[in-house]
Amino acid sequence: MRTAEEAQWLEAAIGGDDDAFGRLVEAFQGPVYNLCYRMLDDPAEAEDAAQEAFVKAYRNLGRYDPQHKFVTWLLSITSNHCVDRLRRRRMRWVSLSTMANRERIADPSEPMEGRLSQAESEQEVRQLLDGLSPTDRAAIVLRYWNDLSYAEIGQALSLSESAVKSRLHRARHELASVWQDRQPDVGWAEGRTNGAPTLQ
Amino acid sequence: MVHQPFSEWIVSDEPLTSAQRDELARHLADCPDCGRWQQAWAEVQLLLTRSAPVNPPLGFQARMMASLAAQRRRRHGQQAWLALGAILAGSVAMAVALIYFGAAGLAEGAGQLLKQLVVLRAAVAAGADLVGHVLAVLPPGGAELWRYSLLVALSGLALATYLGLGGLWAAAVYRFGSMQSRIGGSQ
Repeated sequence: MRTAEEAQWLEAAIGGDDDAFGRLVEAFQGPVYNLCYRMLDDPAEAEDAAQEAFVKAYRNLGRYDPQHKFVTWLLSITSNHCVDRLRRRRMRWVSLSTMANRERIADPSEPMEGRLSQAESEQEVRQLLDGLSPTDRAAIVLRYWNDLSYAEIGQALSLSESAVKSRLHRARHELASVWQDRQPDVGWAEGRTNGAPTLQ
Repeated sequence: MVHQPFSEWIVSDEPLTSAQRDELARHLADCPDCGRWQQAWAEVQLLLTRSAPVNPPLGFQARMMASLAAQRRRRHGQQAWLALGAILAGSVAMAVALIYFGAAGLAEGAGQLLKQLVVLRAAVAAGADLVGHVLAVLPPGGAELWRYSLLVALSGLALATYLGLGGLWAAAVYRFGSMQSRIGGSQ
């Protein structure tokens, strides 16, 4: 639900009040920037994308349907914008640094909390997300960082609720497979394809 | 060993029933592959949940609002130049016509235009007659109401068109003027 303050700012911003729109930017810059950062994996590009998403939102404020949460609408514009950007740069999808970092060897017997620092965890997350398709990546970010429901993710990505569930399931499967494949082989992976135990 | 549906249950977001949970626990006790699959997913979940949201760099809002203002100025500037271009093009066309056809030629052209307008007026009158015939078919009270509504709607449309065009022209000239004064002021 929208807060009374948010509703006031929205009304004023729709009426052309730039200060009110500035308040909305201040209130929602965190989720918008985080989505851009998680999607694009580059701080400078994330800032550009977040700014462009806010400008698009400003130009389309008149089309906002108050039946939905403003943040969902805003994240919908942001995710579509990021998906477009990712599709444009598909040719240089996997960065050289990502390829190099995949060679890291870890000891699987050690608990993950102990063997990875916060910075390393962040790096792992970025690399895991890198392997997902743009839409699946958006679905995962909206689910795990923005706590959006299936219905809200569906609104944001123009998908049905069942399509969101199916995409998220596939994305989780993919993430677990990639993670498992990157752990050193300790002789247990016999009969396994693409991470998951072989379907029998 | 059969790993389905257990490997899917492990990554599923849907809550399992107690029977499914028991079945999965029994399978995991005997299946090291699914145990490692479960561990892999648990570690990924841990990575995702302990990864904090990334905040925008300091000053993001100010840069955002400055960028918005700059885009708006650019758009207004483009509109002003477009309006100026249209006015100049019209003036040049008028000058060329004056030089090429001369004043007499232009007067003749204007006469032709007037003739066309007369034809257009006749067509409009024929259309109005047609509408009148249609209205005559309606019940007497209803016809008056229809006639009045049509008159109001058409007058409103014509007025809105003239006002809109005039307003656009005035806004373009005003923006161009204010743009020039800003440019002048900043230099």
